[in-house]
Formats: sequence, structure tokens, C-alpha cells
Amino acid sequence: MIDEPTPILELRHITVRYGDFTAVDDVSLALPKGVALGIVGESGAGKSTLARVAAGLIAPTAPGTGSARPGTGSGYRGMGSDRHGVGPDRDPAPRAEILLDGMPIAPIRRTRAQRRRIQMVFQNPDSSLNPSHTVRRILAEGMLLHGTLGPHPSHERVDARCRELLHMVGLGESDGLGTAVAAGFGLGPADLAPRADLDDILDRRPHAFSGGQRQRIAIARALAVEPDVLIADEPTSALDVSVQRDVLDLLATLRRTRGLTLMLITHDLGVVNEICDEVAVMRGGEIVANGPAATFFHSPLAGYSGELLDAARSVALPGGAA
Amino acid sequence: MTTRTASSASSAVPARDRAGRPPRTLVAGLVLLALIVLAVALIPILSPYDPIAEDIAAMLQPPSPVHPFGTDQLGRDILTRVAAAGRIDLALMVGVEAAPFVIGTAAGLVAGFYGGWPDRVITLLSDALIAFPFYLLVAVVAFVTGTGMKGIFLTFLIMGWIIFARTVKGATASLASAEWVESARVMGFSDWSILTRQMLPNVLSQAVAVLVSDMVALLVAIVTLGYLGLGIAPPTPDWGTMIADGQSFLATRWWVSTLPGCAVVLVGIALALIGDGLNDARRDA
Repeated sequence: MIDEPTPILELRHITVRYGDFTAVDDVSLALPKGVALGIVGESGAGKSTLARVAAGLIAPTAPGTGSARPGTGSGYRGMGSDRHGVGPDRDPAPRAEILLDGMPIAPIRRTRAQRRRIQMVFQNPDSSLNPSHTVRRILAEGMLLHGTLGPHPSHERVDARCRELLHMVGLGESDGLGTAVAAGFGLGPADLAPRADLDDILDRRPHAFSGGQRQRIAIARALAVEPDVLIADEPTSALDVSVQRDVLDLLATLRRTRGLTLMLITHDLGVVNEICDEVAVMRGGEIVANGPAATFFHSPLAGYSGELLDAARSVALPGGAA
Repeated sequence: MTTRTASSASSAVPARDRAGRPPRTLVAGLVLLALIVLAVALIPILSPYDPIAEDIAAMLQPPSPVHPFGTDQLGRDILTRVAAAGRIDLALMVGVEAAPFVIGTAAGLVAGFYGGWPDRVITLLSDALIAFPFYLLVAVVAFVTGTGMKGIFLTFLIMGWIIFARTVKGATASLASAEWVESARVMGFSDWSILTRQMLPNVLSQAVAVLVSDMVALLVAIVTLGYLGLGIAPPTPDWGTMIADGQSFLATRWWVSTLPGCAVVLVGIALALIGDGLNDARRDA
């Protein structure tokens, strides 16, 4: 494990039930600062549910109660406004907790500052951008909400930051993302696309872009508020194979250059092998293995993790892990 | 590793959006409606005739250069009265529709977004109201408030919001679980902000399309109420009352009923074209 005294994000005893179905079963997970954690597992393993809990979209189910309810604080016993429900004397089960920098945060009713620090990129770029908003508005509204450009930034300053974000995710560059990213975003004037091209992108709505471009915009939106943790839930699974690589490269580069802590949800072990430092394997709502990626990919494994790796190898694991 | 992104990123400037021109039906409807509004606004000012003052010497004259739409049974110039009635009926149509539109859209947003008990309460209320026969409700309200604008306004306020609430609720519910809504939550936007700034722009076009088509039905209802004597009280000109006034001599003095009826049809065509155009624009979006 990385030598980090306090994980930037920690989930403790997270359980999520939908009626009789347990999507996540008493999962605990620590995410040290700057680390890329890959959460892998088959469909229905509970990966996305766990990601949504971390992002504050789903409240964990309180022990001994019914379903988790998206968008509500109920069912969770822990801190702040959610401190209600089952009393400790009636419930011996471990209580669910979400900690940010070691401090407990509410599962849903988080403060604006807490929200800013954990951002999420979703699976389907076709539905993750508001279709009625322009790219400018999509990028600007987060930074205006959180005041990342100061209390009352001018339109020019907001536009400049939007253009910078587009460059950051490789949109509108005259010579492509590769050069710019390889230079660690040390963009010189020659690298930059004409301002008119960028303004053209900013004025458009999402439907004018391809899936890969939309996913880049979604990543730019998340970066606009300068988060500490980026949760990416299957960010390439809805994309063409030809653009999957671009988006993964972008995430890897952003992680390196921005010092982002990354939680990458995927069922693609090759992706994890390339990008992640640590791996957690989920099955049936539980974490069945958790540790450094190097160990996972290069040491003999038993049980489900070994089966998963063997299955991946049998379909030619990209990235040289096979 | 990163150089492979160059090819796709260099084509990052997308193809042009659609031409962005509004559908022809929308333009035609808006032009027709603008002409009608212009006519009903100007004719009463420019006309030498009073829409209410009677002139027995000129009664039931056929259309002529002096009276282009002829005169009615009390000698009043029908063109002036059609325009004056248009002012009242169109203003009533817009005024009566405004409050239900706002209330219904807000109720639909809340019901569709939150589901649960807000949805159950709004659905129960709308189901109960819609089961009540409309014209019976009109008669009851007219009995309580008397005929005239107050009764019409109250009746449509009670019933009119339902169609907007149902439309907006359906549209909102279908969007509520979209990832861009979840993304707004993760970003830290409040429910109010998500509803008004994120969801509303996406459902408003549907509500407006319903508004326009509902206005046609509302206009017909206003005219029908006038025809039945439950609407605007005489001598104030109203298309429904004017149609009713001429029905007893429809076979011999066709212009008395027919020309006010044509005004209703023209407004109906204009609104139908606008409604179709809005639907076309929404499909193309």
C-alpha cells in the first residue's frame, strides 16, 4: 500500500440493499491520496453501486432495514443530518461511514465543499451531459457554483478557463492531445487551437459531438471544479474501441499531471493493469481481493481473482499482463 | 501512449449543428397569428363604427365596401365587432391559460422528479378533477360566480393545470434518472437548482407544445360558453355570442354567424400550425 497516513476517501462497512437483493455487502475500502484504485468484477458485482455511494448518490442501507433510496439521506446511520433511525443499543451491526480526509461526511446531504472534492464521470456520455445546455454552460456552471474562479469572475475569465479545460481534455487542439498531454499540459502558443475553434465548441450542445468527445467534455466538467477524487464508472464501456484508448490515456495522464486520486470502475482488467496502482475485486457485493496491482497481475492468485485473471488472459489481456 | 489520441482529438471540432432554421409550419403559424393579432388590435381603432352602438337603420346589411363583413340584427358593423371580440377572446385565452400552465408545469416537475407522495397527491387530485364533467363544472361555477370572465377563469384554473402536470410529470420522470441529473447532484446543485435550471429547459418545449394545442381547445371552449350563454355577457362582443346571434337567420343572412366563425377557425389554424411546428422542432432537436 502507498505510505499515506490518512486516506483521502474511505468507505467503512457499506451495505446497500434493494429489497431482498444485497448489491453491496459490508464493504470497506480506503483510497490513499494520489492513488488509482481499480474496482473490477463481473456485471452485478456491486461496483457501480459502491461508486454511487462514494459519489453521494446513494445512501448505504442501515443494518436491519430495507432498501437504499437514491437521493435521500434515510437508511443511513452515521453523522450530521442522517443521525437518526436505528439506535446503537438496538443494532449491534457495524455502522456505515464515509470519511473524507479522515472526517465523516454525510452520505447524501454533503456540503458544497465536500461535493466539489469528489466528482464522477459516468458510463454513458450520451446521457451524462444536459442536452439543452451548451458546452460553455456545462463547464462553467460547476466552477461558478463552487467559486473556483473567485466570487464574481468575468465572462472573459470563465471563457478562458473553459478553453483551458477543453485543451486539457484534448478538444480543439490543432495538433491533437498527444503532444500537449505528453508535455504535461505545458501548452505553448503553437499548441493551441485558434480561439474561434474553441468558442465554436463552447457554443455547441452535446448532440453535436461524438461519444468520445462527449466523454472528454464530461471529464472536463468534473475537472472544472478541481476535485481531489475522480470516480470513473466504466468510462469507456459505451465508446467505440477506437476511442476507448484515447479516453483511458487521458485519465492516466490527468492522474499523473493533476495528482488526481482515481477510483476506476471497470470490468476490463487490461485497463486496470495499465492505469491503476491498486485493485479491488468485487463479487456478489463483496470485496474478495484487495491489494497492489503489481501483486494482482504478476503473482499467482487463487480463487475468484485467479479465475477472473485467467478469463481475461484467455481473451488476450491488453497492456502486457497476459 | 498518449500520441494515439492525436487523430481523434484533431477532429474535435464537430460537424456543424443543424441549420437551426425553424420549421415552416411554425413560421407560417406565427405569421398568421401575428396578422390576426395586428388586425384585432388595429381595426377597432381605425374603424369608424362602435362595436356596441346599435343602428337600426343599417341592420342585417350584406358585406359591402361600407361594411366589409356586413351588419348584424342590431345594425352593428360585424368587422369591428369581430375584431373587438377577438381582443377579448384572445386576451382571455392567454390570461386563462397562463396560471394553469405555470401551476401545472411546477406540479409536474415536482411529481416527476420526486415521485413518492408528491406524485401520489398530484395524481389523485388530477384524477378526481378530470372525472368531473367539464361543462357541468362550468355550469356550477357560472351558477356560483355568475357568467363572465371570472367564471371562465376559475373553471379553467381548476381544470387547466392537469394536462400540463401530466405532460411535464412524464417528461420529468423519464429524465430524473438520467446521468446528467446525477452529475448535477454530484456537482453539488440543490434540488431547486436541478429542477429549475437543469430539468425545466428540457421539459419546457413539451409543455409549450401542449400549451399551444390546448389554447385551440380553450378558444373553442370560450366560444362554446359564449354560444351557450355562459360566457361573456352581451353587449360585450364575443365570437361565441356573435355566432349564436346569427343562427336564427343563418340561411338568409349567412355573414352574421359565418364570419365570426371564420375568425375562430383562423386562430385555430394559426395555433395548430404553431403546435405542429414546435413538435417538429422538438423532434429535430
